[in-house]
Amino acid sequence: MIAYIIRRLLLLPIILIGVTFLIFCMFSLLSPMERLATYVNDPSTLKNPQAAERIIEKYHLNDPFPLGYIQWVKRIAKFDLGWSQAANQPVWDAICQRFPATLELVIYSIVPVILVGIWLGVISAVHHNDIIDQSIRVTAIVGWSLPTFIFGLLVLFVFYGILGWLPPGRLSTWAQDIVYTGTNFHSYTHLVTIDALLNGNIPIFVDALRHLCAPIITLSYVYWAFLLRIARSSMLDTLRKDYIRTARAKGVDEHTVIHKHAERNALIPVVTIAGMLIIGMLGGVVVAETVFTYPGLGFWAATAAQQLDYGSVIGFALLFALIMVVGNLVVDVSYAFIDPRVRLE
Amino acid sequence: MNRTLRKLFSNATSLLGIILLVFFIIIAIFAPVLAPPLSDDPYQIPRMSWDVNPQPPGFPMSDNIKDMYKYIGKEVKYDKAICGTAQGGYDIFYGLIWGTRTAFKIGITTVFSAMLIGLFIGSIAAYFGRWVDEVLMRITDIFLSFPFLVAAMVLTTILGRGLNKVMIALIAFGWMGYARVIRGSILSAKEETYVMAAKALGVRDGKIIWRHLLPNTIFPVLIQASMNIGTMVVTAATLSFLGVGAPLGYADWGQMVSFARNWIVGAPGHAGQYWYSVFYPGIFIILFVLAWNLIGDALRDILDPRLRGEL
Amino acid sequence: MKFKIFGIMLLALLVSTSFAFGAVKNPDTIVEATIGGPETMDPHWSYDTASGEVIYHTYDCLIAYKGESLSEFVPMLATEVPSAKNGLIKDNGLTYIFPIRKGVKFQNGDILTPEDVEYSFERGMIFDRSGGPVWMLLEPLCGVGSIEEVATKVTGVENYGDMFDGDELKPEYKDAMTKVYTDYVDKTVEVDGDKVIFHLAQPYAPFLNIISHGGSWGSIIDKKWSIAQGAWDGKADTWWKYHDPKCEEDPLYATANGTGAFMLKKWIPEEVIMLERFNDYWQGPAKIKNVVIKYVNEWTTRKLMLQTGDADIVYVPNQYMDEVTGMEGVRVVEDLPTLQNAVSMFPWIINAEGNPNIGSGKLDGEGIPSDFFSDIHVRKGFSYLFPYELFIDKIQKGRAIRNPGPLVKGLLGYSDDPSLFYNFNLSKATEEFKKAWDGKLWEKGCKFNIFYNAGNDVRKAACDMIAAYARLINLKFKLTPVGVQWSSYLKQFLSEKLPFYTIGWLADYPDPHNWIPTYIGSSGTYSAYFGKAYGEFAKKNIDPLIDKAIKSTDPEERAKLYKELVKIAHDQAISLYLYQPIGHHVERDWVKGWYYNAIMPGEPAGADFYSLSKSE
Repeated sequence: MIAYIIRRLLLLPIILIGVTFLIFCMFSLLSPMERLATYVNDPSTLKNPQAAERIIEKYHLNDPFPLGYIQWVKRIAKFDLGWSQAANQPVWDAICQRFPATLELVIYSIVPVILVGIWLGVISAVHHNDIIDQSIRVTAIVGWSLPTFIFGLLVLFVFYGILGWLPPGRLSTWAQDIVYTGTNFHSYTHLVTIDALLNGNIPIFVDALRHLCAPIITLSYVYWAFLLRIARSSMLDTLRKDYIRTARAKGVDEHTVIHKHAERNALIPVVTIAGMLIIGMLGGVVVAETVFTYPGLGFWAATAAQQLDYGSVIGFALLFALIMVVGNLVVDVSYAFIDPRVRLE
Repeated sequence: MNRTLRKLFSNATSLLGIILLVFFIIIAIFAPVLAPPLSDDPYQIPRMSWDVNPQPPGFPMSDNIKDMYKYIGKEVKYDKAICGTAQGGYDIFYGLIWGTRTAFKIGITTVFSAMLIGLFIGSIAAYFGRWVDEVLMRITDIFLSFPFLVAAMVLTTILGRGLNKVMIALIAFGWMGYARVIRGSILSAKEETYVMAAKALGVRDGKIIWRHLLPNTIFPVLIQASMNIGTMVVTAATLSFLGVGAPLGYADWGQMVSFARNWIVGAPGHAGQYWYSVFYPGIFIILFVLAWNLIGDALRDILDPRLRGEL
Repeated sequence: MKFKIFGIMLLALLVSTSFAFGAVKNPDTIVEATIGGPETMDPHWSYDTASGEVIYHTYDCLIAYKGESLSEFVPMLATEVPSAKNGLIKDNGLTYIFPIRKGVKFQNGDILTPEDVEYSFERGMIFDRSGGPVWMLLEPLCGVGSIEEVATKVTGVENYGDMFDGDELKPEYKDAMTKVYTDYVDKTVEVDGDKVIFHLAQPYAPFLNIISHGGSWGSIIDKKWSIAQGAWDGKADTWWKYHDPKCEEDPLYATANGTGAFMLKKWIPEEVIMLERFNDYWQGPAKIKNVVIKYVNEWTTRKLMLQTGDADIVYVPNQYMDEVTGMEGVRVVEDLPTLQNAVSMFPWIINAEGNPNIGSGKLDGEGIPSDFFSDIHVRKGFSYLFPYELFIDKIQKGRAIRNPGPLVKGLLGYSDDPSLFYNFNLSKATEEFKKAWDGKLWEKGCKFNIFYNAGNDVRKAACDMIAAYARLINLKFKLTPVGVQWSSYLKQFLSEKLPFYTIGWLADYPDPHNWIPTYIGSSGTYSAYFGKAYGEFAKKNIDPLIDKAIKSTDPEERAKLYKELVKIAHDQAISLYLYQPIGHHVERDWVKGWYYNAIMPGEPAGADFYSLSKSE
């Protein structure tokens, strides 16, 4: 197992180089002028050919391919990712500012996904092929088929347009006032709900939660269907195992068999897949945040993409890829701990 | 194969999928009859009016647009927006019909191309093994390091607006799954005696892969492909919704939903007055994807050896 | 079961909080919801309305417009408005004298001095970021368009950049560059006791308008504080280090310390600006305590914020006006004259090099020649082809008017003489097109792309209309509307590659000189890119009139000259003058004290938060 982990760690730099190289290749698809624009905050600067020349020089935009890549990586290492037109600030600042909001959303979305997904998956497997299983599966397929943005618009329409319960954004005006500028409010984590609790400010906590609900519902809906499928097949597999049959044959009651014996073992792969799911959620974040104008990374990236703000989009891709790479590593390593069967492939 | 088909038709859910799919195929084939194009580019949705606000179903073609078409010798077969107009006067009905063609075009092209790439890379990696395998699989890992939607969004943004660009982006980041699946299958199949025999006889590597290995291992890939068509169409629609997909006015369901976005709530006291602008394109996307998923799901259950005989 | 209870509790909490509001929401805070946030807090960088709106409230100018007026001024940090009558404008308009108010406090407690005023303008001039607004100070004061122009003239180098080695100035240029400051910049603004004197390079009719513009180049900053922040140290031999910095490296990028009525409390780019009342404001503290400007791009969200009273002032695009008129508790102010317009350009010579936009580049039905629009009949043909009324009615929802030529209503020299307007007339358009290119155009047809900036649905509709009607009169006229991203749009128009494109202008100051040269002068912001042929035409027929008009101090003579220029623009059909929007303002009816001034920064109408209060 140690050999596996070492091998996995050794692969990390290769993957990192590959990922950055791939992003740089995409970046190189842009015309020199467009690449230039990612480092300029005011397009009218481009009117001045000398100013443009200076920037090209400074950022080595005319260097041949491998050299250009090295220069680019060096700049990234210094967190110089260019200027975000969409956020009106440097890309790195924009990322730092928006990251906590997205993190908060993802953390809260995981809970319903895992609970509902696993719960339904187990039920479905236990009631294999009868009416409950069939209806759960159909719901899952429908959920799987329902594009996130349509479902999100539906939630927005019902819970905001008609009922007025779940407002878009991240905080109400009064709460914003307190969180951003209040003297008695300290932002320890920048996760508003946690900060509110740490400050003992319940109204802010509730306000933040109200704003989080709709994107959470939207984000989790798609993913629980996915998790359900995996939980179901893993559970079905386990229920067919010999030791379960033995337990049943011994006359252990069905409840104990399912919840004590089968569930525990069936959920090992599910839990690791859940780890990957969280990472996968990063994609769904773009849609959920955009629909509810939730000011996180996804909303910013979508706005940037619309405005063809290449600097932001590249920075966003880089960040998410890095999170994915590191996340995958963590998942693989922890999987190796949980399931000792994992060895060198 | 026959057994599979029989099962597909006998299963209620997959039958529903097949019926839906046939419905969409009919729409796509008869698009020029159902909604005769009014301009050179049939995928450009005609405007029923110049008005920026959506107009309800039954809204007649106005602002002299009909006269205009008459003048240039186009016969206007229907002069009412049956499903209403989207923001900007675009005819929703026309967009739905021709959007079906767009959806098929996206789904089939992207999945087919991505599958070919995946098959190529996966089979080469598995067949030759060792460093070839190592290099190709690490490249696959690198491509897998991006959330699919994010990668597609980024690449489309860089390539520029347009359906072709969307498809390129979807293909570029959509082949890895196939590569992994085919690699797994071939790894186990290549030790079989018939492959060994072919090798010993000096049959060329390409031929062994093409003639012997692929036909015996391609099935799981095909299942995956059928399930991915829906995903590809949804992703393309999502990109259009985010504003980086099809160009403005192109018959594309995702874009039509994005047209509806600012009208979804309606004026105070008239909640949902513009329901038609989101309902029609929304339901088309959902049903289209559902059709493929139902078929794919049933196929998987039928062909998954672990579950064989269970259903 | 546990989940159920938790769920019910949660639901109860959510529902209970959503209906808890009283009569006037946030009684001492004005919340504005608009689109597109500011770029900077530095007055000398600011050239966008969003930055302007904030800086307008954090900084003051020497003088300001009086209420709604665009021609009368009130003293602000100066105690008197200069005029020839009170002797503060001298030497035929070459000298302006401003007595500076005493005892005015900056927000950090510093007291305003005349040196601060001198520093403010000089810092602006040496700062002169590319694409920035400072040309408006340099043109009257130094007679040039940029400080780099002065520098290259004094040092004799060809390009400003040649004097630098990386970021460092080459030593041989140091003395000459110091001279740029001592011989030019320094001499334009001088302190004399408690007065500040401006020396103009040429008589300049709209000078007071420029000085009085709030929210940008006219703002007075605190010298001591600015230097402490790391802005220009005021020395002659360092200025180039502070010239044209990167936006975020500018020391005043995200901080503010003016004499204005509000202090900058928090700025989260593209999300929110929070301002707080400055209690030591020299005119007395504002009635409201806080201002929150939220940047919400989604219309649905803004609308609901207005409906629930979470926002007091909301930006409403034209097409959604129906949804707010009649909304309970909301006041809509309509028919506000704006000082902006949108114009479609016909460049006389299009850069044909590697340019796919003009097809074959020949008049063979598969493209257009690069000098396509230099034929007046082509331009006139298109001018008759546009359905102005339909466009204003359906796309602008009636909230726009037409302009004769490049001058908007409300300015000197504007005329609504019907003979200065082209009307939508297909037979006249046909007639013109038949005359164009000796009939060859009509016979062969043409094929080219017409442009709008992506995302701008109004301009896209305009392009669609032109394309549709062109096809209507001749099937061989194939125009393809193409949406291009803004920065690429700008770049392509600067390289003269766009055959037909739409662009707008928003007034910097309410004077025709801000409009006519921009659109039709030989070196105008837009018209400089119409190609060489146009430049020659403009130099001969337009520039002399512009020059005469700016130097004249007699309003009647100026009006006559500008009318003449508008007539040339119309007769020559230099561009397709689309529309001038009519503004509106939407606020909760508990907001009191709002007034409209067309030049005040804000979209679509600015608000002077100092004058506002909230009550039932």
